[in-house]
Amino acid sequence: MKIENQKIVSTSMHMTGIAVIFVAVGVGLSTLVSIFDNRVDFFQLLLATLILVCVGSVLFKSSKLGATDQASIFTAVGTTWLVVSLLGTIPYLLAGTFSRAGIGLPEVFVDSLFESVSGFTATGSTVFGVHNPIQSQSSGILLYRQLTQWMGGMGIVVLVVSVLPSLRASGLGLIDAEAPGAGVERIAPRVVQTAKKFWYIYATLTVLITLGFFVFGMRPFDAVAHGLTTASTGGFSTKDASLGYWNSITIEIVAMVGFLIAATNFTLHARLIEKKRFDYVSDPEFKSFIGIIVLGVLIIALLLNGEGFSFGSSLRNASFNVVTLATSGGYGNALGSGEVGDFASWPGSTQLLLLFFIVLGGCSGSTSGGVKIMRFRIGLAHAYRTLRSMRRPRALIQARMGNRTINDSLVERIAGFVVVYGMLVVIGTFILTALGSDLITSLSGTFSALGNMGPALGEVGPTSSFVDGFSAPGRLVLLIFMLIGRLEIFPMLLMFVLPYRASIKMIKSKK
Amino acid sequence: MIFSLFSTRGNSQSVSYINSPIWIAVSRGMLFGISAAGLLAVLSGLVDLTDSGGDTAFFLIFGTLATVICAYLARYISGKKLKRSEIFLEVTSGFLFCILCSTLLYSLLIEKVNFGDAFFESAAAFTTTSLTVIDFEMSGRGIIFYRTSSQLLGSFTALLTAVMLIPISQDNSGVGTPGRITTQEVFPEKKKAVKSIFLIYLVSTLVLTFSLLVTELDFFDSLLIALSAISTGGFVRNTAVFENSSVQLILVAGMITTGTSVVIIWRLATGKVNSLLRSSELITYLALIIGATFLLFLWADNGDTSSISKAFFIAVSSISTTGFHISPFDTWTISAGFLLLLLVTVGPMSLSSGGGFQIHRLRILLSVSVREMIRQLHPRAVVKIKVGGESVAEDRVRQVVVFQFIFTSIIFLTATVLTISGVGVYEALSSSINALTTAGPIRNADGLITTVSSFSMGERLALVPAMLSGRLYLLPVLISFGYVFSESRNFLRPRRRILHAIRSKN
Repeated sequence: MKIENQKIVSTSMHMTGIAVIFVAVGVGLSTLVSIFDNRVDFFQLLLATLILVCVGSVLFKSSKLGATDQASIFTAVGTTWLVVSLLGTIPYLLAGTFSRAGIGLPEVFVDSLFESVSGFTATGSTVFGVHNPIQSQSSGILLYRQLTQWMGGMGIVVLVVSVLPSLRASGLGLIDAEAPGAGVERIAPRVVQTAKKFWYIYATLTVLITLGFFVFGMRPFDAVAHGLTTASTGGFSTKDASLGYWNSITIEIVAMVGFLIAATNFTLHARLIEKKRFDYVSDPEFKSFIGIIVLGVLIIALLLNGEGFSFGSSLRNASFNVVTLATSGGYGNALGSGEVGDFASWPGSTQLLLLFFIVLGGCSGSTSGGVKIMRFRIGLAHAYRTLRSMRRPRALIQARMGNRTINDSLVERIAGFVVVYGMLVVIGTFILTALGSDLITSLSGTFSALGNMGPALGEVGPTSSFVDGFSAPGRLVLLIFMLIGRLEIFPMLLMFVLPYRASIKMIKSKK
Repeated sequence: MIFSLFSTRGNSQSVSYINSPIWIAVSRGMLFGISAAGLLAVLSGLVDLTDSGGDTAFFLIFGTLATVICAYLARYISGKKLKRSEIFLEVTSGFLFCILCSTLLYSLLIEKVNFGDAFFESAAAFTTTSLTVIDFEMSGRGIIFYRTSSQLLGSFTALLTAVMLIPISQDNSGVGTPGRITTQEVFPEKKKAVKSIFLIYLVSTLVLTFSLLVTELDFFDSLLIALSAISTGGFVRNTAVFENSSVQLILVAGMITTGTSVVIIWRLATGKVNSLLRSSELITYLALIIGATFLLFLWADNGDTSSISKAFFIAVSSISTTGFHISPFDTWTISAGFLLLLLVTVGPMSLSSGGGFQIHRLRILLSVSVREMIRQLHPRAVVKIKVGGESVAEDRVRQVVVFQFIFTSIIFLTATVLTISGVGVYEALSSSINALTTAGPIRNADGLITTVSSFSMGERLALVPAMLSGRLYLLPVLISFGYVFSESRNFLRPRRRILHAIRSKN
């Protein structure tokens, strides 16, 4: 580690510092809200704000930007997410959110870390439940929980890049390392402008969704809280029954529309806002996204109808749950366990189809998780091309998506991603089953964590807590998978591989 | 009459779709399938003589008629050389007609067996999947021998297809020699390949049969078990024999051999032992067996020596996709069930009798993931995929990636169809994986075996496409399907049809 002008030259430290200050701002806002809630958790949140401000300032002030090669970028992005997730537990720990009878400090820490990671990665899996209801928490903690998803939804690094002009060209690499999808399209000449525009669209969307919720019957606090987690496709709610608490079809529609907009490529939104170009219809990824959702809703509604549910109820529940899972939203609309909206109690066929949506995710360049529609379409095109070329070995056949020919290097990148994704799923499921969870819970839990989805199948359905389905070590494994999934696998994996490679190099050079 | 329509002798210049390669491939496959089933029936009729001989006449008449008619009709089929995709169609239709012919035989021979059950049984036999719906307890030796030996025929044909037609298998010999040795170099001629593989099958079946005779089994039972083990079919009359530890150990050796590449076995038989020790695929295969045995033993929690041999047997039976099954340990954990599903999914070495994804493909995928990591750091780097020190061509890598994609899709589709008809999610996933990997039997989460008899007819039939595509390493079936689909589409479009006719005329 170099030191220049009494400052440590480290991109990781510098970026982490400013990211922690942003988190401190979020906790500060929650502290203000707690004043209106009879000052419950006020001092705890205030103390957390101060700690975070101090840590963030020290990290930021004592460091300066260093190398911006690929390795440093991955390390910086990975470190930022790790440190933010770790420090994000401070408000929960100080407020004693997860302390309960019968569990020790390590498990309280695991639960706090799980909720923090699930928040920042906009996953939406929760350890709250019957044993520790969400509705028994203070407004300050609840708002902080929602804000973690909002900050993480668009991306902490995108936020950092938008306020750090000194990053210049390397900013795009940083955003690329964090943003979901197979690459970021620049929507403005400068990277900082691109980052700011993303945040502008994101904030506008949040406000619109909040207004929608408010108009259709939510209290202002709940409307804001759900606006934050809808735009981020996070799925945290302020109620134990999630949106099922309101049992309102209009609120569900607002959530669905919000999720669909948030799970669409933000570049398309930018083109609409700035260039007044409605490119949605001509975008093959968006068309497939909507087509798959419509098809899924129809099939699941028919299957539910066949099981004895009324068609109206089937259509409502199928559309809500398909949209919430396909966009990696994660809200539930069930009034309770075993109720009609609880998809964990639906027939096996619908559960398998929902698992497909959990894996698939939304569009690239959006706030949603999963493998992404674009990768899936390119995978299909590639499979079709390969099979055709096996029939006609001498023919030159290109993989195509819409009217565009797909570059071979992109196909290879996507193939690599899918392979690593598949291997992680196998490893995750294997570890979780070894830790005592059943296969369906483990498999769907791993998919859900990697795709930042939220609820899963088996014992961790939309009305269940992750405490019910997984042991503390299992939850620890899942939160690692959430981080890996949020950063689209490679930055987090490489962050652990790079020091190893560096040490090997050092040993070799010494020899 | 029908075959004369596509005979090239009298009407070779006619512009007709009946003269097209698609029909030649289908009819060749049909004749091959029916005559193979006929020959098997004749052999079974002779075996039935060692028992009551009640079915001998039927077997001999059925077999002789099928073979003679096919031999006669074969004269009318063009000797035109077919392209690879057409040969895939030939093989696939051969398998299908073989299954249909055996279905007819089961339906006629066994009382109270409906057509659906007979079809499933026949498909399970030829695809070497260890699933059965017919009770053979009261059947004669002839029919039992037919059921068992049809596994060997299916396995032998599939292996030949892999050696001669599947590109990735042709490249990979599984032998870690310093120079690159392809399968084609080991088996340069088709005839030699057929002879060598037949010899391997024959010798290993005989060795295993005689080894089993050392235990308390009689010759017929030993032969049946040996046939099932070598073909990875997994069919047995009575699973109680597997409780004998000496039977377990002999079968473990047999199943490990079955899961080994035929190229490696051939080189071993021809005295080239050194190169085998450097075969990284073989080492991975053995390491997987040892690792899985260790984990199963660990989870068994019994601590006695019988648990080791039981764990060894279950692990080898799963990875080789043989499907011999014994009762689970008392303390069966969920992870043990998942481990077995993983093992059957991975499967044995490429160019072995087993099904599954196969280790060579898995290693290519591992290399792809490592390459992707390197590319993340050095986006412009040209990184070659290397497996066992040898570069793998880029189009082969693509095929493996597509194989993975299709493999997963078929599992998902089959499981979805099963769940729609009411099967539980775990059972559906387990069934579709076992069907596609041609392993079987289907285990519940608690390790107990689910009999396919409890499935409805529709559910059983939903497993058959997965079994067939799995046995033929997916690509032949998919390419055949695509070929038939595109030709049918062309046939239905008049403009293309006219163009096709003009091209054929020119």
